[in-house]
Amino acid sequence: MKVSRRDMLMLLGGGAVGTIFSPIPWKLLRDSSVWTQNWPWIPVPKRGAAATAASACPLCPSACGVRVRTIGGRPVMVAGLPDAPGQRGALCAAGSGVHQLPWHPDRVRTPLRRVGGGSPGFEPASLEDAVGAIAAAIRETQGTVAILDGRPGRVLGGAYREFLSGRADTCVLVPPSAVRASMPVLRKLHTRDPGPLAVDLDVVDTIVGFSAPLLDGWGQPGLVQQRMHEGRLRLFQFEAVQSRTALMADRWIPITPGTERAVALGLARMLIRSGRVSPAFGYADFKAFVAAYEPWTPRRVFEVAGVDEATLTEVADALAPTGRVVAIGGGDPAGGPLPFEDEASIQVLNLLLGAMGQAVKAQRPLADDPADAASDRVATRDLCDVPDGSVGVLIADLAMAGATVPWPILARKMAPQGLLVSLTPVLADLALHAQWVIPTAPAFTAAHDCPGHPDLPRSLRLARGFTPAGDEVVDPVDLLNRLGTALGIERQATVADALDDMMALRLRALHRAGDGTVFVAGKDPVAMAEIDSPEDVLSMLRAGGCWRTALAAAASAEEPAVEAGDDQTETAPPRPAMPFALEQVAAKDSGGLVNGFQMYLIVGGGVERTAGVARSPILSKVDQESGLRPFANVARVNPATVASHGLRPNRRWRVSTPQGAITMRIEPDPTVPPGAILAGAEPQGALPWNAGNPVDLAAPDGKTWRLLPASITEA
Amino acid sequence: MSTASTRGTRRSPLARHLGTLMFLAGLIGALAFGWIVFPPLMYSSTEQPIQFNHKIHMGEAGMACADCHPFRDDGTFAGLPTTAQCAECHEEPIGDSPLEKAFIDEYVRKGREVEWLVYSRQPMNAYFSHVAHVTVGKLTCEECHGDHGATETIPPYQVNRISGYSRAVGGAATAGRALLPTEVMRMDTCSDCHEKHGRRSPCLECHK
Repeated sequence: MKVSRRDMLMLLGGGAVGTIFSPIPWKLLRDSSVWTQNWPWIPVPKRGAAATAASACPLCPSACGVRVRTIGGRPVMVAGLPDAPGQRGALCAAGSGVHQLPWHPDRVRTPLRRVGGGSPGFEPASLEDAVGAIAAAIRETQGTVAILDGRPGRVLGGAYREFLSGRADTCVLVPPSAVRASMPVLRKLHTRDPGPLAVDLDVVDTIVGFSAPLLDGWGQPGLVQQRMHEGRLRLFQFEAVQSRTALMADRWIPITPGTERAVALGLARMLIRSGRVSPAFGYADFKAFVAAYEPWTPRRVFEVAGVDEATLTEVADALAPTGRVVAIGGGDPAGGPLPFEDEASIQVLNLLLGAMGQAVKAQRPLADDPADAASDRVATRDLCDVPDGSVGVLIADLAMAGATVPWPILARKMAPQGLLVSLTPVLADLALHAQWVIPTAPAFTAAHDCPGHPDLPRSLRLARGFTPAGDEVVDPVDLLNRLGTALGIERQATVADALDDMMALRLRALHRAGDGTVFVAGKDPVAMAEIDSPEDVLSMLRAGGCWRTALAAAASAEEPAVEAGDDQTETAPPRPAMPFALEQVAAKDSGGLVNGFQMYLIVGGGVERTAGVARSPILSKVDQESGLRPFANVARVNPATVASHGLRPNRRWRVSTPQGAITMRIEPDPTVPPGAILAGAEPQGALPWNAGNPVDLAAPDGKTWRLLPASITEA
Repeated sequence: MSTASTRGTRRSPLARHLGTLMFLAGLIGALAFGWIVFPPLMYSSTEQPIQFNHKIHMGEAGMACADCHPFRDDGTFAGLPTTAQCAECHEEPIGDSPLEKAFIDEYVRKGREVEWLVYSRQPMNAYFSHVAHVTVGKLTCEECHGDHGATETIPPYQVNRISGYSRAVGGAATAGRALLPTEVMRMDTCSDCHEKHGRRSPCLECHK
C-alpha cells in the first residue's frame, strides 16, 4: 500500500485539527502573554516583612494622606488614608502610583550638562562642574537671577529666598496655578490686605464652580464628594466640557469655552438687581459698581456664554447671601489656571454673597516660619508677570508643583543667553530645555514637607522617605550652600543647612504659635497647644498626621473695603480697583476667536499627563483603558461638529493653533461642546509615550494655555 | 475504460479509506500529545528542600492549620512557620524517621530557615489578603488549599517554563478548570468564588 501525498496531507490536517482542540496553542498563547508582562528588566520588589505606614502624597498641593504598604521597607502599594481630614480616603490615580516614580525610566541619576547644537542631548557631569557653571552664570549675567518655586509654602522656599537675598535683581517666581488660585485672587481684591484666606468647607452649603476640578483634582475632592453624598452640599458647575466634576455635580450648566467671566458677571448683575447682596459688601461707590455690571444682561450672557436666562435665574435664586455660598474658579492642573480677570470676576461673587468671614475666612500667619524667610527682601512674582527676556539665570524646581508650566511661557521670559537649571528627579518636560539638570530626590525617597492647597486652611503634612535616595541625589539646600560658597554670599542664618533641620525649625515655630490641631488617623484630634514639644509634633506628623490651622469662628475684623478710588500707600502693593478690567472683558468677548481660527482647543489633564510632574507609566495605561482622560494625539469633538465639518474619524487631521500644529485622530464625544476640540496635555520626554508635544501650549497672551484658538484641516 | 476497471479492482478497502485513517491518526495523535504529553513539558519540577507529612501533624498530633500558619497579633497572616516554631516541638527527634533527623540536623541545630518553595504564592501583580478571606469571609483553609492538610508527602514545586508562575496559581487553565488538585489559586477560581458568594470583584481589588 502506497501512502500518497494526499494521505500525508490528511495526516497533517488531522494533526492540525487535533492541535487546535488541544491545550498546545492556547496554553502557549496564555503563558506567552504572561511572559510579556514580566520582562526581565522590570524591577521586582524584594520579599520581606509586610507593614503599613502613613505618609503624605508629595505630588501636588492637595497633599493627601496616604496609607503605604511596604514589603521589606519598600513601598509597593498606596491608598488613601481613610481618616484623613478633608480627604476621607480619596486618592487620585497619580497618587496611587507615586511609589513607582523612583523607578521611572527617565529617572536622573547624575548631574547632566546640555551638549550639541542641532540635535541637543545631555552628558553626565560632576556636581562641582555644575556649581561652577551656574555660579559663573550668576556672576556674569545682566538679567534677573530667579528661582521658580513650583510649590510655594515649603521650607525650601525660605532657603531659596535667603539665597537670592544676597544679590540684587533677584526674585522667586511661582507658577500661575499658585497665584491665580481663587483665594489669592480674592485677597487681591481688597484695598487693605486681609492676609491669607481659606475656604471653610465645613460651613459651606453651596459651591458655584467655574470649571474648577472640585471633584477631580482640587484641594479636597474627597470632602466635597462626601458632603454632597450626605446632602449637606450643593454643587453648581459652569463648565464647557462634561468633566468628571460636571458629571457628578448637582447641576452642570454647559457654557461656551472661555466664558466663565461672562457668566460670573451676569450672575453678579442678577444678585445686585434682586437686592440679594450681603450687607457686608463694602464697596464705597456702589452706584459705579452697579453701572459697570449693568451691561451684563441675561441676553448678553446668553449670546456670549450660551446660558439662557431661565438657567441663570435658577442658579441666582439658589444663591442667598447667607455667607455659606462660595464661588471657586481655579483651573485644571494640566490645562492651566483661568486668566486673572476671569478669576477676579468670580471672586466678586464671594464678596457680594458675604462669603468673607463665613465661607471664606482669614488665617493667622505663622511667625518665624522658615518657609517665609527673607520674604521682605526678595519679591515673589507670578511667572507670567515677569518682563519677556529679562531672566538671566533661572533655577526651576517644579518636581512637586502639581501643575504644568509650558515651556513656551518660560522660554519667552529667558534672556537670549540665559541659563536654565532644572532641579528634577526625572528628565522630562522643562528639564529637556535646561542647560543643566540636577538630580533631586523622587517621591518617597526623602522626607518633604507638604503644605496644602492655597484655597484651603493652611495645613502641613510630611511625606516620608521610605527608601534611601542614593548618593547621586542632590539636596537643593546643599546646592544652594555650594553656590553661596562659590559666589561668596553670606548666609543670613534664618534657615538651616539641610532640609531636615529646616523642617525641625518649622515645627518649632508651629508649636510655639500653638495654633490649630493635629489629626492622626485612628486617634482623637489634638490641639497644638496641648502637645508637649515640637518633637512630639514631628512624631505625630511622621505617623501620617496632618496639622491644620484654626480658622476664625466669626467674620474677619478686616472686612473687605473695596474702593475704586482708595488711595494706595506707597508701601502697600497695588490692588486692582473694582470694577477691574470690565473693558477688557467686553473687548474680548465681543471679538470672538482670532485670526480665522474658528474652533477652540481645550487642553486638560490627559492620559499621558495630569499635572506638571512625571507620572507612573502604568497609570497612563489605566486611564487609557478606562477612557476617562483624553489622549494628546486624539481630538475629541462633538458629533455635531464632526458632521458639520465633515471630519471622518478614520483619517488624520491637522489641528492648527497660532503657535503650531499637530496631527490628530478624531474621536466623536458628545461631552465636548460643539465647535471645540478636547485634547490631553502631553509631557515632553524621550520615551515613546512622551513623544513631544508639537502644540505650543500657550495662548497668544502668554499667560494662559487652557484654551487655544484652533482650526482643523485634513492632514 | 480499461483504466477505470484497473483502479476499481486494485484498491483495497484500507487503501480506499487511507486518507480518512491518516486524518484520524493525526487528530488522535495531536490530541494525545496536546492533552497528555504537552502539559508536563510546560513545567519544570523542583523538589522541596525536605519532605513534610501534614497528615501526621493534623491527625496523630491533633494540630490545626492555624497552629503552624497563624495570624499575627496585628491580624496579618504569618504564612509559613519559622524553624524556631518547629523547634518548639522538634528540638529533638520524635520517633526514628530519618527525614526528621535530617531536618533537625540541618535546620534546627544550625538555626537555618527552610527555603520552602511556596505553591500558592501569588505573582507580584496580584494582592491577596488572608485576613479578608479567613477572618472576615469565614472561609475554611480547605476551600482554597484543598486537601493539602491530609497529604503524607508534599509534591514537587512546578514552575511554568514560559510565564515563570507556580503551577498552583498559573495552572493549566486550558479547559477552564484545573487539571491538578494543587491548581487551586488561579484567577478563575477567585472570580468564580466571588461570583458564587455575591462578592464584587473589581480589577483593582486584587491587582493594586
